[in-house]
Amino acid sequence: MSINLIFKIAAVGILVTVISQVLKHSGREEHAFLTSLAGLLIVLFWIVPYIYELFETIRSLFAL
Amino acid sequence: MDIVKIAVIGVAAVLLSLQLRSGKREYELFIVLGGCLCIFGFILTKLKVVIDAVNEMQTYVQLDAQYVAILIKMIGITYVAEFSANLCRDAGYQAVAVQIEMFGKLSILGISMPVLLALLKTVSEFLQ
Repeated sequence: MSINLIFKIAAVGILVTVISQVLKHSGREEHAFLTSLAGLLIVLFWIVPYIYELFETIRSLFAL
Repeated sequence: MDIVKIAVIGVAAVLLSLQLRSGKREYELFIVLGGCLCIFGFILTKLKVVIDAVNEMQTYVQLDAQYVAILIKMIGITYVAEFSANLCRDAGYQAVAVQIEMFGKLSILGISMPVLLALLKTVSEFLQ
């Protein structure tokens, strides 16, 4: 939960941006799209449990 | 000092997401969301102290437990509505944010109805 979550997401974002640029210039458009999709999925897998935990804590804390 | 840690996390998240504003826009929102989750971890510790104090206060002053629960529930609804509405606003979708806020306001109104009815009942008993 500490700050390395942010750095991991930023790293994936920058990496995917670079890779998609390279792939785009080398003519393989669909690969670029696939890599950005893969990056998106990775980040989603990281963030969704945290979001679930956030709302679960709120529900238990405020007796919603 | 906790506040310094919070500030560092917030500024780091914002600066990192600015990097991605030119390339991929969707990661920008993920980083901001990650930053909010980190800061929420710290908010939680402070919030628990407040809620424990309120519950302890209840043992001294004979308040009706129902009203304190409604009060705490209102705080929770406001926080969640505010968090998600501002996140939608950051992403640039004003309409969704307004819908979430509207729902938050109405649900708070709905929760506070019994309190209002109890008040009117006691007032009408006096008048008769």
